[in-house]
Amino acid sequence: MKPTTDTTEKILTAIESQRVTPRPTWYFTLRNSLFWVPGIITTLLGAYTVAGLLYGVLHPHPNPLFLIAAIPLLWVISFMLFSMITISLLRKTHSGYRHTTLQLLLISVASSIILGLLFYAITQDANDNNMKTYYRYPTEHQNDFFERNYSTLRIN
Amino acid sequence: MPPNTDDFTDEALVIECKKDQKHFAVLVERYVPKLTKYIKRRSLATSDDIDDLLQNIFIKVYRNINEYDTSLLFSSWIYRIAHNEMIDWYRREKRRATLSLDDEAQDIVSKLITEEDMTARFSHDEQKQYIIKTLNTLGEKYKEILLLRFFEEKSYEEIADILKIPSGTVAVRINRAKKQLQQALKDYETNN
Repeated sequence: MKPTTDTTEKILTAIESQRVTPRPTWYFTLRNSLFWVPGIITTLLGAYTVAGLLYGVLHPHPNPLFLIAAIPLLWVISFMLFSMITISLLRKTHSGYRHTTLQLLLISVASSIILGLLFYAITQDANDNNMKTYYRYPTEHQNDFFERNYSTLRIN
Repeated sequence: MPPNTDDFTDEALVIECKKDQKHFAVLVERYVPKLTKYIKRRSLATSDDIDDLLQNIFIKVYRNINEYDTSLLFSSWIYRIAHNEMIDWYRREKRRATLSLDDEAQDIVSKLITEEDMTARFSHDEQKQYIIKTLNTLGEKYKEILLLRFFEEKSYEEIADILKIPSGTVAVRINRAKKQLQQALKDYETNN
């Protein structure tokens, strides 16, 4: 088509003289996929946390403070950090901006819970065996670790 | 015989552009007048600035044409690029967004007044000027949203796609902007 206005002609000339070419589709596919990476990490961290907590709740330790000790604090902090990164990056995806922060957070938490339940179900047998061994034959090292780190939490 | 692209929708034209780049000229022809008006209303840019801005916008559109998602209106996508380019321009030039409304825009101000049922009180040119002045005192996000809603006549969904925010947020911002405008007009009424 022949340009009908000066502005149009200038624009088309600039595109030609600067040798601008469209970026390939794979570039955008790859870039958009990268936005999902923190989302996947967040979900996995959250799922791991949920599975750990579930185990703690369903297999009560003789000392109730064990549950507090068992909360994987590092995972919880990482989960919160990655959630924030995920939400800000999801906003940059094709349709992520259509959801509110709360909706995105709920989706992230729900995915973690579902995946956490799955993790728990898959590893249940192995966990049961490990914990049976732990309860029956607690090693000196394990007792020392608990005393050293969590004795202040003890309810007398 | 090549197809008559005049009857093509923007979205169909983009698909054609991906096959044959000469169709891009048709898109440029269609959007130069609309975007020129948009830039003029959003800024006090000179005609040289407007030419530069338009050039940058269309270069970005052309470079990223394969990113365009057909589930979105093409106009929303190109306005989003224009919006971002304007923000970059303000930063580069260290300016603040200022609405600069032409004669046509003044009629739209009248429409806004009518919609807000203020016709009886605000119908003179001087008062319209006051409204424009008041519009410029609003926060950037409110100013931008009113411009897109009332001057560019975009729907809530389109505004959401242009600004990349949830449509609920668009509704909230429009309501807040209207309230701020109403308050400013009440103050004007009290003082005059």
